[in-house]
Amino acid sequence: MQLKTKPKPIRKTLAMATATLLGHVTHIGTANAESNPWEIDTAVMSYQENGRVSVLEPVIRMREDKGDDKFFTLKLVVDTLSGASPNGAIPTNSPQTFSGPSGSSSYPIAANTVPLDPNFHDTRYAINAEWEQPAGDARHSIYGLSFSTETDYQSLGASATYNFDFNNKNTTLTTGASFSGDSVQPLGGKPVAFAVVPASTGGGGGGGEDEGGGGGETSFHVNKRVVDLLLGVTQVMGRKDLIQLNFNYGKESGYLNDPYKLLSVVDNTGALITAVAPDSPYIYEKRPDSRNRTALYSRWSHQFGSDVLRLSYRYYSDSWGIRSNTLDMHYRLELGERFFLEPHLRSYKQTAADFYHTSLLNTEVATLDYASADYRLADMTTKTVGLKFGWLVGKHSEAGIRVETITQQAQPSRVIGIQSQQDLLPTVKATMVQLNYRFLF
Amino acid sequence: MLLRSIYKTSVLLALLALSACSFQPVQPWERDILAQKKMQLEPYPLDAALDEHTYFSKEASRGGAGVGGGGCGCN
Repeated sequence: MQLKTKPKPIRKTLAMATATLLGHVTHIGTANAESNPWEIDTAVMSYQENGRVSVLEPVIRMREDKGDDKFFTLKLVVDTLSGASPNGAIPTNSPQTFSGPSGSSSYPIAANTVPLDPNFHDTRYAINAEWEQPAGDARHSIYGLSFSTETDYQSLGASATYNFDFNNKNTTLTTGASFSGDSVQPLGGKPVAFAVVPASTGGGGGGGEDEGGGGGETSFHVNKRVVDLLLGVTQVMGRKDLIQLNFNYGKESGYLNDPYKLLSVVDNTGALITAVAPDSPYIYEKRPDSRNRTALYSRWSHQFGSDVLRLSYRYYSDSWGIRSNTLDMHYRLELGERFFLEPHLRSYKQTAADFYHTSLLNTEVATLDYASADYRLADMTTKTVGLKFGWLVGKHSEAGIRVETITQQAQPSRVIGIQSQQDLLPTVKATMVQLNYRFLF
Repeated sequence: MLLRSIYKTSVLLALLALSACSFQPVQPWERDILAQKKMQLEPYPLDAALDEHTYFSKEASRGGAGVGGGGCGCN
């Protein structure tokens, strides 16, 4: 009788007891309201590209078990970026000079070298808070707030996710929505799309700190809105298998340009040519002011003996003409009860945006609606190879170190005349090292 | 494009729902393996968040795994 009228507490107790028991054998488990309500997860990531950007990113995530299946999570991130970033212009067989984003500083680029803007230094601070609670017998909801700020960009966002369990908790339906309102303040003012980039003065006069020169508008504040909707199902396929399938629709609108990216204007021999004004062969980029994107995402966790394989696949497409396929694999190899090794492989391939142009012919400038030479919008592949080593330091703490190499290769949309002498889009190689430490108290 | 994606998703979800029927449901006391942290779909959320941030900055695609998280200039 008792089982029929009140089955849940017994099931719950059994499930919790099993989980707790296992927690002490193979991993440190999760926070528990009575004994160790706080789970503290920390990481420091160092990311270094060859001769380009470097990033140092410490993160802390604190999750408190408030009891009754309620959880509070707070995450803080500091993201320090420095180094050089491609400005979109092509390398040429003679030296080039560019004015910096503020119009007051200029930088020379040697012949046969990809133009990199060396002025990228920024620190981003981000905070995320989440509240998770049951919403009835077989439902629970998660509400999130996020805020981030950096020199020229602020973002404020909110999200809500509802999970509905059925089929004896073997199936979970997930619905989610998020919104973020972002504010962009390009250094030197918002460049006018397709305007000629002011000629570099070599520091000998010209614009002040807040002056964008001939191509800049005096508007220093532009907005961007991002909405995402998610529908997903998670299915227990057996004692050792869990799969998930998500559909994600997103819409971005507002200012979607990268204010610091340029395009080189060339003649039909591939040589730089002054497009409109006589003093500069570079123009600012222009992207559409809206973007609709869809992603179909699936992942699978399977246990082999005590090892775990995690696979995921994503198909992505958007209204800019980008299609991509991402395959990701982690294999956790247990080395006794205290250590594990986890190789990671990721393969990514995207098609170019409809308006991606490595360079523009001067005859095209007046005819195109949109154009960008940002290599991240080109035909591109990314390959990642990584290895993580983890160990249980104590009963309630776990540490890890992860090293990965990331290789990106983009393809030019077109090679015109003498451009064939140049490596227009050289391979980008990056190394990532991350340290983790997680503990309960 | 959107309609085609919704259609594809619906077909996959329907197949998934049908296939789920053919599997023996796992009872709460049989969840010893599934309850392990390493069997979660995202056992290390910080690793996942850092990866997502890196690839969001270096590639043109985003989304799929969940909603929320915050924005970034990422130039």
